Amino acid sequence: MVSDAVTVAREEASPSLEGPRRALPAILPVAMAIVSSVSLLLLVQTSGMTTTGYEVKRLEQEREDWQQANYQLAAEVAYLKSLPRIEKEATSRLRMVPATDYLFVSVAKSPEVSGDGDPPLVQTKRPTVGRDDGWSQELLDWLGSALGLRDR
Amino acid sequence: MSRESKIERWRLAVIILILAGSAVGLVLRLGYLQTVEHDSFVKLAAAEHWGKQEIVPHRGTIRDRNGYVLATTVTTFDVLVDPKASLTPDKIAKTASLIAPLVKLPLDQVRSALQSKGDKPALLAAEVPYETGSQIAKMQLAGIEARKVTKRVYPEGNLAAPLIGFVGRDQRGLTGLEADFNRELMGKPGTLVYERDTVGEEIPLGYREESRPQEGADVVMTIDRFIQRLVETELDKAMKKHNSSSATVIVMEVKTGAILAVANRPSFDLTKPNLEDNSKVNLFRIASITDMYEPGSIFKVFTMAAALEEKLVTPATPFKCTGVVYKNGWAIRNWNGAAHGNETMTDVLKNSCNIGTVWVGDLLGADRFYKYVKNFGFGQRTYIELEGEASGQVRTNKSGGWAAIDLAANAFGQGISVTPLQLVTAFGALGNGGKLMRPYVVRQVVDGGGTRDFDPVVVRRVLSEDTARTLTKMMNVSGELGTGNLASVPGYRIAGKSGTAQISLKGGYTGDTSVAGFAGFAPLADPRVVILVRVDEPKDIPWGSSVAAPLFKNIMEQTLLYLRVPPTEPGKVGKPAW
Repeated sequence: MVSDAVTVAREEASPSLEGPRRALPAILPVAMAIVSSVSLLLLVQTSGMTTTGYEVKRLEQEREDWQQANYQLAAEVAYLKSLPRIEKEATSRLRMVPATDYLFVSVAKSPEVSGDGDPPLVQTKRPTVGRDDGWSQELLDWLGSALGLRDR
Repeated sequence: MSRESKIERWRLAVIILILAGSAVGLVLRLGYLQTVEHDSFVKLAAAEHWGKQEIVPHRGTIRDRNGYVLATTVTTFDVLVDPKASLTPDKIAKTASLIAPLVKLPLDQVRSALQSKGDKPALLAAEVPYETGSQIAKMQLAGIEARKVTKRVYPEGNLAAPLIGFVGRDQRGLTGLEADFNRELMGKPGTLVYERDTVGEEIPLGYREESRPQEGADVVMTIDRFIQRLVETELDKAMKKHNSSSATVIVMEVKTGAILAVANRPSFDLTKPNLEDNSKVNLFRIASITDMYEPGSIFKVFTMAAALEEKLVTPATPFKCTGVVYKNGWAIRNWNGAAHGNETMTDVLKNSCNIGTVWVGDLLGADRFYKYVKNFGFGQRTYIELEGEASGQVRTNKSGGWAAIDLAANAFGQGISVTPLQLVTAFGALGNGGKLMRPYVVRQVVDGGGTRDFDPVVVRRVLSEDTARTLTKMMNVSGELGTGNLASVPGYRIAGKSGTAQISLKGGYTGDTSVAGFAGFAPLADPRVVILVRVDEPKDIPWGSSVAAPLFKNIMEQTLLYLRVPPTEPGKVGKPAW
């Protein structure tokens, strides 16, 4: 009874094993293609990541280089604006000499200089003490009124 | 059993025992390494595997009040040749031809440097600009090394050297503002943690965590580079003229307490501070805040101020100077040994009369006198933002060992020690309507997160406006024949006082040396700047009125002109040349 049952089972099983055996030549290339594709994708991704990593590093270095160049340029600008350099340029190239005497002169206050900006280069209000009403002042007053800067 | 087989069995047993013992030993050792030494090996493995690097932030810039750079940091490269590289003649020629134009050196010099023998890399070119140095580093030439060097540079030269201070090789501040504001200037270092391979290089796709550094903040000072340069130039001239041992000048804005210039001589080279010579270490101090001295006659104005405020005297109060007064058996005489006769209080200041000032001190009494001394800020720190400030020395009637002679001597500026900064700050209060300001030297700290401003601080009102105005008029030196007349600036009314102080030693004073001083502010009507001049041990003339007053005049005149303060007196107004 037992052997009969086994025989029956074998007989029943044999047609179902035939299917995969027949399908194997078709599945194998597909599986290989899938595995290859996945591997390729992984390789591409890994390679892309590596490239991006190097690119990021390169860009960081580039940023660092530009930043350092900026600091260097800022220092150069500071040297060019420094007082020793200005003095050297003024005396050696432009042949300027230090001012030994100076005068404050009164001029009319123009609308442009009024407001809360930096102090004007020249005094805008005539001092009450030490007022000089000589010919020069009269000339200045006349010029001022002629140019419409002040009322006569 | 034969004897031989017995021996064989013994031998076998010994070998088995040795092998078993070794096996047990190995197991125990492995167990020890895996348990007891576990943590240390984990650490070792991590140290091998993980790299950690500090990212040093860019150090901030120190600027003057107008934004001009006084100290900043740049990165350059030092290019070195490695004699161990053993290059072939062809390689040397090729490398030299590539490097020479970049480092701007003659080809022969570079070639001979590459041919030189030795053990250590030798410097070929220092401070090569970053771009060029970076280019050389990328070339990766055998025998050539490009090392990054961070360097502090000073576009204005040694301007305000002790105040700015210098940094060490690790770019940390060692003296001056560089040290006192090191935390702000330095910023916060960042870190980079990464996985590394067997040779210590970063694994490109490995773990990487970077925290960016916080760049150092810029410190904006109240110093004005023009006034600072002017002061230093004039100070050098005066030092040379009078062959003095040292000198100090402070220029302060009267209404705010902002220090516009502070200079000490002798000074040092910021780029090459000599740390090995102990005798030069003193030069690194900001003498204006650390060094104390007896102010001499300049101090008389504070005694007079107190008496005016207490309504004990008026400018016209009469006094008869006999030329000498005795206190505790000591004779006190005038600076010139003369008797000034009948004087008013204004004359007492103008003649710098010791006897008159002692009389005023007596009128005040010790309690009131020392109350004003304290209120003017003497004997205590001003709390400027700089380290190392001295508080001065004032022995009051509450201190041990005090005697009546101390009050008399203190009244005209002897037996009391002050710093130049205290003195100029107190003098500024007279020009500021009696309000004492806290001096400050930094007005702004600017970092990525914003700006921190330091505003002027009124410490206290010492005098009423009336008293300050009255005293200011009494100190007017313009066109007067008082001791400060050499300080007069044409076109401006100046308030000032000269002082000649003796140099104190243990138990007395030096006989032949002095400290010549002058303090004053201008213009009288609306004071803008207060200046203190101190010249130590002038060799030609000892008097403050002759040595310090002309220096004061030169600095004040040009400072007022630079600050565009219009003159109020005849002399410089309204006479155009055309």
